[in-house]
Amino acid sequence: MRAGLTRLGSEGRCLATVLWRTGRASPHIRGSDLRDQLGRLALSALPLISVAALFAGMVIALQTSLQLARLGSGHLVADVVSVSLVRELAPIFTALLMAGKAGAGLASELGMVVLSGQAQAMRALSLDIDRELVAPRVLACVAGTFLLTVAAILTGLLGGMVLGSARLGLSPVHYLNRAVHALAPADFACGLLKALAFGVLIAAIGCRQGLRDKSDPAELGRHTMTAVVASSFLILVSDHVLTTLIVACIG
Amino acid sequence: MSAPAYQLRDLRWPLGPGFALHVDALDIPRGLTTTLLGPSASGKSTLLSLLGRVESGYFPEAAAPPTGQLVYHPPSGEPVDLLALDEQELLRARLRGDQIGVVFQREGLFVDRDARDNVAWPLSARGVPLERARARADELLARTGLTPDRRVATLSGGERKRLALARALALDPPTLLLDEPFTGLDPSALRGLRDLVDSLRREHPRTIVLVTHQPGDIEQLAEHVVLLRQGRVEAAGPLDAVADPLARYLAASRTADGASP
Repeated sequence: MRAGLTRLGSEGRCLATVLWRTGRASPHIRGSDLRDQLGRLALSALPLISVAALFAGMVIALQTSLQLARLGSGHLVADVVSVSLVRELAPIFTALLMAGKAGAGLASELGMVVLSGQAQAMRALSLDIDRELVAPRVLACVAGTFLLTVAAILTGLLGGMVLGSARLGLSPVHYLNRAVHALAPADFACGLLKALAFGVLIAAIGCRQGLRDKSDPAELGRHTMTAVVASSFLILVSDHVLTTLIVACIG
Repeated sequence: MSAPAYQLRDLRWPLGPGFALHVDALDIPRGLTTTLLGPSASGKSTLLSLLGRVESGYFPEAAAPPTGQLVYHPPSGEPVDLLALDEQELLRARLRGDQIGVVFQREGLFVDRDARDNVAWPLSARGVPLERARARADELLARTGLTPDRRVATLSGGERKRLALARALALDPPTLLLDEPFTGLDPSALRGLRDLVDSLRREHPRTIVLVTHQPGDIEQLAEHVVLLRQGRVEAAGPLDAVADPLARYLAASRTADGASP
């Protein structure tokens, strides 16, 4: 128990180190590095996340319509789908997919840099690892998770609209009108603040696992797996904590 | 008499239950080639990594940091205790790369860049215009016999070592630390690279610290010898002053080589 807590404290310090060093190096990074990383971490995940959110939107609309029909409130499908997408489902879907794609990508890419001795060579040449490698990746991961969550909200709404139109006989214009009117600024704040927090978690854990010392290639695989599992777990746990906090603060 | 390149005093670095680096007093002379010798796990590469201050990872995961004094005397300017500087201070001081070049045993080449950009990156990161950085890289690559646009993945073992050497020379450091640069090379590549290091030190006086196991390196390059055993300095001095312990070490190495299958 004591050893577990010590380990947890040490991991927490390492995550804080990544974020603190990123903050310090961020003003000095090159725009081109940030653009490259946004393309690699976020833009490349856009088709995956859009298609996943489209289908998620359709499934939620279908499931919700079945339950609401039993209560005689079938006309509320668009309202319920849009609020649940914006507040909860789009940030969670996006974060879990990003943990698998960007989190694993960060851990394996930085892990190779450590394992092949490139990190040590950079140190020997006074090349700032934070400026060159870490900060552009962390910023791109956070911004990417945020932007992809917005994309997931839009395609999820589209999926709900398609399902509503095809299966429930709702006109697309009527569906979208109801969906948009059901949303309040607090819903967007709730979803997008969580998206930012999840992006920070994925980036910090991915970089932490990637930059850990490694003595053999097997550790690269283990650390990459740890990055995905730990970020997915913490996304789900922190979702509850963040939602409780946000609801308490802004409703 | 000029100050040595390095002065080590009461340097201790425990690295686990079975091993600690412990150097009471050691001077590494300026402008000469010093070879670090010793059996496997005697602390040669560990000591070299400390001389270059490249021993730590991104996170402080080592059980205990090294303690003592490790003073580097640059050719011009004030001496600096390298162990007193943390990673950020080392980055700001830019001793690594500008003053001290390192060639690692596993090279650590930047695999997503070609040979030219491996050498040019440290220069362009210091604000040298890219054109000039690449021109300097081409010059060094020509000197080391490499084609600038080769991808790292296509280089042979000998070429990788040459590229690592060219990269370490990018900022023309007065001190070079070479960790077994000739290991794993075929005889012709070994001879070529050894001659290259020999010519580098002859045409421009540099402090070179070389970790090696090979008697040929000692015969051709060594002017000063540090013999390590189990993390401690067993003998140190000019080649003729340590002739006896050196002869014993070389005889034991030959016996071990002969005994191995």
